[in-house]
Amino acid sequence: MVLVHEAKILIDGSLLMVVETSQNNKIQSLVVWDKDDFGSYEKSHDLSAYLSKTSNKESVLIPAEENPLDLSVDIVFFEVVSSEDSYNQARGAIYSLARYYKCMMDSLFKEHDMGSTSGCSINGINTGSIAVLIDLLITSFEQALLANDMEVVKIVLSRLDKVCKTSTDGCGCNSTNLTDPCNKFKQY
Amino acid sequence: MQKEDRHRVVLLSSVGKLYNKFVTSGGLVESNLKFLDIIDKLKNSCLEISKEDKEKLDLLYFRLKNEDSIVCETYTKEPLKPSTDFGLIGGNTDAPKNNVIYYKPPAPNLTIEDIKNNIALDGPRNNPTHTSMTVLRQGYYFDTSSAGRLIIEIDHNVSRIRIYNVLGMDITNTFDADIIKGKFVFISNLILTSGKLYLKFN
Repeated sequence: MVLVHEAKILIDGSLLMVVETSQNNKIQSLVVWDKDDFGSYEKSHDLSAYLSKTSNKESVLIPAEENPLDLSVDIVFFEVVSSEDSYNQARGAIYSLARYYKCMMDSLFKEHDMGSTSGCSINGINTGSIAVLIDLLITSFEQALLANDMEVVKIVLSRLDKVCKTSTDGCGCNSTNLTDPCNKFKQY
Repeated sequence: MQKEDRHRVVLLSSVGKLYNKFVTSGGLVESNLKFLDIIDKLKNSCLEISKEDKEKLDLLYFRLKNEDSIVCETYTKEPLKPSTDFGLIGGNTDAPKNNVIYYKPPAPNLTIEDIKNNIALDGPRNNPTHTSMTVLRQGYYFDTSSAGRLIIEIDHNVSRIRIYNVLGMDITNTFDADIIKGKFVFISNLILTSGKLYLKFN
């Protein structure tokens, strides 16, 4: 069994991975994907060369200048494989939803006349529903991620992006990316 | 249904906090609860919130929380039997204090007719394992009286979902494009809908 203790994009763009497998086994490979390439090994970035392969625990730091991932998006994916005979693979995602939370907050302020900082609104759509809609989409995203349904994850992200970009001023949509300190990971 | 035949049932909101406010108008229901929930999420998120925005959130929370609490009511043909045959309404352990009827999750033998005739379900849920989903697996009926959102987990072999109103009209297309095949169906723009809907899975 492979356990991912940490998977994070640092503020400077470095990639940090802390993984562990069972005793007497080693982590054999580490592969990452950009948002739209998940699942295609041809389009993956193989970072196995950064593994020490000396013990069952690995702490890997890929410097920003060597990190091949596109960090201007909301999500990237990884896969770790160990030398175990079974249950030797762990997949997961690193993602940041900070800009959508920001958009949700601005919508909430707008709806309740709280002096929205950025005036987030969408033409023809009740602004009150925007906050609820974003909340729904965030929940859907997290549930789809838990269910390991990457197609739904991508669709939901696309809709989140659309909702925020459709807002009259693009609120919250240009403020962050995966280097945001709020990025987190989920192993599935 | 004649008024005298009705039995009062109180619908607690989907999350069931005490500070609900439902404003009903022709079946349209809005709830401050959702916004309180969103504020909680924002506060608990990692989002860096400025001092000014934090004050706004606190003020908004206070305003929402202290508005008059009104629970949503509906009526059924037969009295519901708490903790027995019929479905959960609400889910709030504080419910007894608030004179709200509290029911256990629906019994496995719940039928569509049971649902149609005897119970009005509080549809949208934060938790997809909540009543509405369980019932939808057995029947395909729910009441959007506290509409906010609906997330349904469906089987892989479900390839299509159709939505009908009480008149039997297919209104699937009015639900935008938020219907996704696969493990989840999420219908977001239930937010402003009202009344009863029927779902049919193929």
